[in-house]
Amino acid sequence: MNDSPAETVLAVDDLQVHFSTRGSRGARRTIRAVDGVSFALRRGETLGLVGESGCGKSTLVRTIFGLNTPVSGSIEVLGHRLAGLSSRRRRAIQNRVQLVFQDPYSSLNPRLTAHDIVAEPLRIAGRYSRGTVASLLDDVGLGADALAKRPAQFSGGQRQRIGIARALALHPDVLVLDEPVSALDVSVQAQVINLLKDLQEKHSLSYLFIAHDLSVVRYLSDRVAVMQKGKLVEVGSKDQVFDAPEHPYTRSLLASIPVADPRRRADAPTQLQES
Amino acid sequence: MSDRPVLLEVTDLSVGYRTEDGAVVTLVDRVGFTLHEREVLCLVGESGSGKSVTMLAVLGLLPDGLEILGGSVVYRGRDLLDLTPREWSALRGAELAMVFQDPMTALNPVKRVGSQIARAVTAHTPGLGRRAVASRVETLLADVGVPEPAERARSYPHEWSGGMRQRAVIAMAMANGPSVLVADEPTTALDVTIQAQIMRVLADARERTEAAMILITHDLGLVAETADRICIMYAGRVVETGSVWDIFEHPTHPYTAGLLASLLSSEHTGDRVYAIPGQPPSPASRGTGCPFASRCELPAKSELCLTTRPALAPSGSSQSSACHFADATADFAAEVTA
Repeated sequence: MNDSPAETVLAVDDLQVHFSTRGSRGARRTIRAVDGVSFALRRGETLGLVGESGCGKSTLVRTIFGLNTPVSGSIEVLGHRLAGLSSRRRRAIQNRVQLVFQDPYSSLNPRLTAHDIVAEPLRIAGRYSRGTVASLLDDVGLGADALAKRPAQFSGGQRQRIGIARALALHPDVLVLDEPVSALDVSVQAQVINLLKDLQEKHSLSYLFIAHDLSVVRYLSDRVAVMQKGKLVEVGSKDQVFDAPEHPYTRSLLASIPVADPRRRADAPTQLQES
Repeated sequence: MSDRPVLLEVTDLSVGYRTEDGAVVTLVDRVGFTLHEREVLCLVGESGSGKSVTMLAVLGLLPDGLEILGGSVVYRGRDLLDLTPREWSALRGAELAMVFQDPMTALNPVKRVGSQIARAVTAHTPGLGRRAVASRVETLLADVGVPEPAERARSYPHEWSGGMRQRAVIAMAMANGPSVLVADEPTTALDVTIQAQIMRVLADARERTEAAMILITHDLGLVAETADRICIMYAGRVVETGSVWDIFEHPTHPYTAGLLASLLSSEHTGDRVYAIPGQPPSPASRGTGCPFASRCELPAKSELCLTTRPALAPSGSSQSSACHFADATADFAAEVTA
């Protein structure tokens, strides 16, 4: 974590996002997709958000980016409450938070070159220069030869690097990382994880890191929030959540992760169990 | 494990396709492994490593365009590569059964779950009465932990959750008490708590029927928890094989060592985790030497790695490694894991 503990870059307070659906007999039902979620993300910190599909993680992310309208509660970016801003001001503030998508295969426009993909947000913001694009790509470990290539010419790991470069284009304070490595090959995941660590340090970025792979969450996060049925059932330092989980759901999640160590198996040869 | 009788023996199996100008691209390159009775063998590899194509070839399910270029697949003394389609349909689903990754595509969306399982039963036991079939379906569903099986059998796949659907697929695979169960990433599409339940269901099913299992996965956690023996595949080849204990304890191939070192565990407190550099080669650019050479960081590596393909050779009590410098891997493994 950073030396100055104080500054909160993203604060979500008692957020409620509801959807109404019609049940099989035509009765209206309200689904509380996000049900009273509060957390604060500090500068330079990584908050891991874990939970299973349908728990409301994605709705929470969409709401942070203004794609869903909350019923109540607030989202503050760098101390500005998003709901109270004019749309122009809101766009400027919203740019401080950027998203890295899960699937680098579908999240990049296949007809654009790497240069154009990274240049797009810069052009919209009126800050484009070829040098900026090249240095952003350099930042994520892609050389000048990448500029003219299209997504299909890159591997999954390289595509995810392009997605990260694009997210960094407007110098955000916060990156929301939605399962950033789960679509990648195992041997490439570690490369992207190391890159994320380096970039965080270099740019004092804060990460809201969403993943179902708890070992990656543990490795990258300072604090961890566990979400179930729209609520954060447990929030704490990663050591507290992983070593002394309080909520039964957290415990069942942790108990479900396969441990990549055969010595922990009941049928392990005794001399291995001891070592 | 290896003192048990051999069920399935795959030797030098190669699979590939022909490009328009007649060149052959090899996807699976002289792969071999042995499955013993009641054993769990894990085929481990990343996407494109050839693990799924290998199993499709073994099961006679290669899609159009892919062809077997050589080798043999012997199941209980019969070479499966010589079977006629008719012989295949008698064997597949009865003695060799499959569970695929996505239960939604494995089930027919417009047929009731029960009648799909019933079809699997009657396909290999014709002449069974309606009542007997229905009660068999009920037992199969109950065995995989589906509550109220008689009632649930009448519903359609979309009415079931992902985990329940995968249970139905497992019930179907176990319908005829197979000797070999092939499970291709059976839990990848599921949430982690459901994943654990499904692995439990598979373990119970194997216990009841004494089936051996080939588990295809990229998840080393699952491998560590379920495998007896492991085959690590890379770029269409088996690069290391051995018992789960030996491979996790002392890998003898630099790819295995790198994979294990890049695993994030609670013991990782350092700032960086070891990452294998580069990307896996594409099938067309695998070259003549070791396919891992361009990413290998073994200090001992030499010119030999670029020119000569290393053969799989014994490298430990239970292990074989396809590396010219398997002996030097221990020091490398210790260094990258530190």
